[in-house]
Amino acid sequence: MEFGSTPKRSKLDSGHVNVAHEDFSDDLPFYSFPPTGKIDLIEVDDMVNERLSILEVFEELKISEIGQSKNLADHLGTIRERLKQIESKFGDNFITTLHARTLGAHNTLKKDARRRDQISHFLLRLYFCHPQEKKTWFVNRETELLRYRLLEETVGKAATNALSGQKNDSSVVAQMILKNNLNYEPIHLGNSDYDRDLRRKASFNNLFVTNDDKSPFYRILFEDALDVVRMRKAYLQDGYAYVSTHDMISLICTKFRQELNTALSRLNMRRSDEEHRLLPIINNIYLKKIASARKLKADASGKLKEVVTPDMIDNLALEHFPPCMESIHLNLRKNHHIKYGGRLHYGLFLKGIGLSLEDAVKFFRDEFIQKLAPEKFDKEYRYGIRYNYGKEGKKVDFSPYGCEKIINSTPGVGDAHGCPFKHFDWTNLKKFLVRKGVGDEVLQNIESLVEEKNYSKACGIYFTVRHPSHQISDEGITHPNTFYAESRKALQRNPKREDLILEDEIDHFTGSFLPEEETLNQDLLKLLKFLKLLKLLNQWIQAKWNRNLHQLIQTSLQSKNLL
Amino acid sequence: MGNDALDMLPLYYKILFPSKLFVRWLSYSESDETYFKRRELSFTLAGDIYLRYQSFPDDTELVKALLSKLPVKIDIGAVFNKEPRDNRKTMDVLIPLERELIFDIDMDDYDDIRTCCKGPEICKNCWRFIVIAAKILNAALIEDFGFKNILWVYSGRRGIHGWICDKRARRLTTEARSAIVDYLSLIEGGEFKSKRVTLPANKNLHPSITRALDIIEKEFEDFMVKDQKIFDTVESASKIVDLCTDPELKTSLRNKVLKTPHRTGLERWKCLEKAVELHVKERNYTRTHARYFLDEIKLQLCYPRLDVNVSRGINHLLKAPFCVHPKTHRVCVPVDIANIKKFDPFTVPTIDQLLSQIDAHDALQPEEKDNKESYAKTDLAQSIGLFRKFVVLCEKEAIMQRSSEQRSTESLTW
Ligand code: SF4
Ligand SMILES: [Zn+2]
Repeated sequence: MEFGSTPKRSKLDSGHVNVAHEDFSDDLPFYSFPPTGKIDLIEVDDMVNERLSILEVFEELKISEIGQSKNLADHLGTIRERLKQIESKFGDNFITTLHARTLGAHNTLKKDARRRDQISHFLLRLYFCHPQEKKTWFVNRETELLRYRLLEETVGKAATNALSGQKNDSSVVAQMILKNNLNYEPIHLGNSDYDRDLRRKASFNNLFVTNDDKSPFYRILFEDALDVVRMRKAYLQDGYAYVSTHDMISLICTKFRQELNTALSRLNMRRSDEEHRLLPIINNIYLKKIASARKLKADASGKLKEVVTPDMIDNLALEHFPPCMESIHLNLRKNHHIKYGGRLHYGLFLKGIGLSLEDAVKFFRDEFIQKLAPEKFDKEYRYGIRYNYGKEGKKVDFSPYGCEKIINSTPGVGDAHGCPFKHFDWTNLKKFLVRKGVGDEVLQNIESLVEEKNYSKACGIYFTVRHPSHQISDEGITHPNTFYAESRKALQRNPKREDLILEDEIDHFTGSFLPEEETLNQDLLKLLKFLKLLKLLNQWIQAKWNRNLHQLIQTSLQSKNLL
Repeated sequence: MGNDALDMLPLYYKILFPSKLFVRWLSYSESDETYFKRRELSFTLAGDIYLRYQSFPDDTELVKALLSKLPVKIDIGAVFNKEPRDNRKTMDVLIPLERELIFDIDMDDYDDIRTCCKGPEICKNCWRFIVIAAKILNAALIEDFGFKNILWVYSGRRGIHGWICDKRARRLTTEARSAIVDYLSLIEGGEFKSKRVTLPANKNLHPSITRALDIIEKEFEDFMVKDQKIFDTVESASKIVDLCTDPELKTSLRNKVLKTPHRTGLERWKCLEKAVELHVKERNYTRTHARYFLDEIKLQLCYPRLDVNVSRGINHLLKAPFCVHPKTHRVCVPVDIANIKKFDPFTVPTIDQLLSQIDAHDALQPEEKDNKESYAKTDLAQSIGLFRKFVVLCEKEAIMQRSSEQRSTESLTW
């Protein structure tokens, strides 16, 4: 699925995912760069399954616990056989293909296996980056998988080669280090007394690696080899650790674990960041969509917003409401009453920012009954509010009015609604603006825009005064809810608690609503792709794996006494 | 601290405490002039009053504070992101950034094995535990980790402190400090574990352990067997024999070492040594637990016993050099590690002695009364000389490092 390339597509299970650079040359990747390019969605499903099956093997047969034991070669054999039994839609699974004992595995087969290896890893990153216990499970299994593959290429092959009289090949580790810029340099020790003494000391514990005298040592600042130092696994001299090729494997794995952990945290942070940053935009597009197309289910709209409760409204009005809504609000607070037009405009606006029906009733009721008998409110006004929420009358889930409608409305005597830029006379508008901190120069600017009847632009200028560092679209403000959303967004830049509730929105959003591409900016598209992919992964993995996986994660946590 | 000694403290801080050198040391010729200012010093006042997060712009202010507060103990903490004494003035949190890597070896940790004294007592005999420990640590820190600027300081009563001051050491993360401590720790388990060192028989010894054993071996018979008399009685010898985890060997050792009469402890030890060697020789050494039994005994008795928590943290306080020990009144003087065997804790001057040495000197040579530094008239002269040499060494390192950094940036721009 190529996300967004064909605007009208709404079916997700056809097409491709974009995958970046098509460089799949590594039999044993460190996964430093995500692949790019296209893949079939059906393939994604199969790849995810293949990798999860492989990772599962390591849940049972933990390689890290085997360490340097003499039985390592046997243990590797057990794992090798178990892995071979894993079938994938592609024939042999990628591990079996890539680490085939016999030479001359078919080149295209290998290439395809490499591709699956990389793509499936990055796909699972998305799924496993959150929450913590999922992340831990994934990092552990991936690290074990890497350890197995490194050991298999060195020790495992050495064992089979010994039988067939071939030489051990430690170059896999060297290659891995070289290719991935791991900044560990091998030193080759010669025949001088000093070198020989160093080699003797450095190989103090080389019971394990075969007597291949040429296998290099790595000279590493001890600060970069803390695990090896801690376990007294390497010889130390003058601030450097001399690490054997074999022990480099555990160093590489530690490094891999760290990097994967960081990458997953970053991914998760980016995800929630982007979501927080972009959700208001999605929200608006979504609202616009409802306004124009009105075909979405009534209950859907309630899901998209953050939750606003009556006690928050005073503050929000002061800080984030557009002039039209703020003036209605002030009016309501002052007179404990507003007329029909105001109730309609304001009621829908409040719904749009996330006030629930119950809260809306409560909010208006509490205010109205200060002047009114409660029974009277219940009889005369409750209906209208429920009507706004699609619970009465036509049962249509109305969307909040946009500026055009508000500007074109004709408020009569005693009406609180309307666009201040149009419906206020200049003295009152000026009073309002000055109170909100608008300076002389800007006032002049706004005055001339009002004279040109360019109210949206005027409102946009006002917005810019409120949030100087926040960019909004050139045409100004076209919807009070956009004003609100942008204003909230501007504030989020300066850290402040925001309790957006996301999960449902994503679900809803990605499931039933695909915005047209041209209305979206790049970021948003990226996020949508991401969310869609995540959703797909969630569905697939949940369907086939989740119970199983959940169990696995639980047991592995329990065994560590974490629960 | 008794009242007399307390009365002497003002004079000590005024004319003997090497405050200039002390500040020079903790400044390390760092190009950042705030380096010393950001260092936490903490004072313990008479009556167990603790003043943490003190910091000073220079030695004049430090001396002023010493004279007005008269701390019975000065501790050195970390270098923070800002001046610790300003903590309340600004909003940013106080974060420890750097500090020397430190080690604390105390006789407390040897109470279960020394036979000469108990409790707070020490004698020349058990002091040797400390000497061996310092030697082993010093060798590892220099040869293995490549540190150069190490100051050993007598703790004033029955221990020694190691200050590793290299720039690289000061910048170590907590994780790295932990790894170093683990690398240097062999003794495990507490009160309820009798066998505290176990070396896996299927592995060769790490070169650092081999080196430690070389150091121990030179003293083992003379010190542990003769002076500490660990094999002199059947009772104490059986404690050692019981450490053996190989049942077969253990039985044979019981018979040979414990049940057979020996004239001396040394004979008993020799007998044990021979029996173990024979046992290992007759078997596949990698398969028997007894492969390293002799080494394990030596290490359990003589390998450094570290207070690991002191070394692990970046924010741990440690008593400053040239403090006066509140109980013994001895000055915490630097120890020349090359001649540590000659260092005698019982000849370390007390504050009382030092002040009377000044009086005596002034009486004998009145012409020098006002034109010779007070410390130079006392036994502290040598210690301060040693300290000065160390401070100069640290400063040289800083200067050399800076010039090599400069050269490398110059060559880059070329
Ligand atoms: S321009 Fe739009 S947002 Fe601004 S006040 Fe008028 S209606 Fe409200
Ligand atoms: Zn003693």
